[in-house]
Amino acid sequence: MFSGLGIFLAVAGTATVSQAFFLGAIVLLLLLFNSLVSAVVGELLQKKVGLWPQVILTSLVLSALSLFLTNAFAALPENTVILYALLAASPLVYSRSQLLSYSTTIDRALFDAAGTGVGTVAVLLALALVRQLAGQGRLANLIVFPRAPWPLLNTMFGGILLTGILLVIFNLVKYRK
Amino acid sequence: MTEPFALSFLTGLLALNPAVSLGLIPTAAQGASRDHRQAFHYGLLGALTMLLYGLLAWLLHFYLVLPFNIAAYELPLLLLMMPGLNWSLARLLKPWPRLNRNLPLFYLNFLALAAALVLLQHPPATFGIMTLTLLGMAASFLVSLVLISHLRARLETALFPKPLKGWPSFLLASGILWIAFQGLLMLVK
Repeated sequence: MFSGLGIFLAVAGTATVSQAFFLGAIVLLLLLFNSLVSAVVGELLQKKVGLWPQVILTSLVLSALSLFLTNAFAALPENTVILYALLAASPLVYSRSQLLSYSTTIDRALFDAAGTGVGTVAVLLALALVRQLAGQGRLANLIVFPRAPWPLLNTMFGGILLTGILLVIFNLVKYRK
Repeated sequence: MTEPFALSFLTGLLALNPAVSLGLIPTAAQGASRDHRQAFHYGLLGALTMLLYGLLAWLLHFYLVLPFNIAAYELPLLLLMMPGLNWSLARLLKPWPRLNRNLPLFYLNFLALAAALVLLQHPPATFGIMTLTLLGMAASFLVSLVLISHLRARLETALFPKPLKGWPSFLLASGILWIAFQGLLMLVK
């Protein structure tokens, strides 16, 4: 996320907590899938899976999954369908499989992908939680603030701003260390 | 008579550019150079990719996916077109090395896919309106990339506290660009 690969998800895919969780879970799944494929091919054939074959394979997985997710899409913000499809071309879901998974053991590749995926879910959820609470004043169906304290966060600019703030905090912690 | 055509171009220009409508400005900028001339060529190539890919996606949607009722396979089909388009562009642009040396660019493919998906979400019914909408999107992408390269050049030489350097200041600048596009959109609305 902090290398910039997942910035588009942090900005556009965190309008609600449910959207962030949904997209984060799909990222986790794709990271695991791509790392598994890459590690298995690396171990059996001592070869690296090319990027394009992996992109096509991922798009097939996303297409097959979308058949079961029609109801979920209907309940999520409108741009979720596009963001979901865009994951097939996102460097975020190929980063681990293209850089590491093919040259390591299957279990290590899966742990690495799971760590990256869980981190992505956590960051997306944290951003969405703040955006939904401050931007809409509610969480799921529960009204927390009768008037949203910072409605700006409900817009795309809010997503960009909050991601920026989160990165400043990350940098502060990094430099302090 | 010309109103629907003008409106479709403006919609593409101000509302549908994926760099703005989907908040992909920071992602678009990731591949953009701070050298304005280079950024212009990168943006031009991006606009061309977006235009051609959008056109192919629209044809695919109306002449293959809808008649054969294979909406579930639209995404793999869209992605299968991409390496072919990259290869064709590399051959087509051989006489223009300034454009050609930017290929293949994964971020441009990503944005071209985003443009096609935005277009196909509510696909324009006629070829003319679709072409004008795509032209608007491509022009908007080029303008936003050139603006981003100027912002990037300024941000990299500006004096900032260390934690604000890099992505945070860049995100703030991208946000301001997003607001500018929204302001223009309000004027048209």
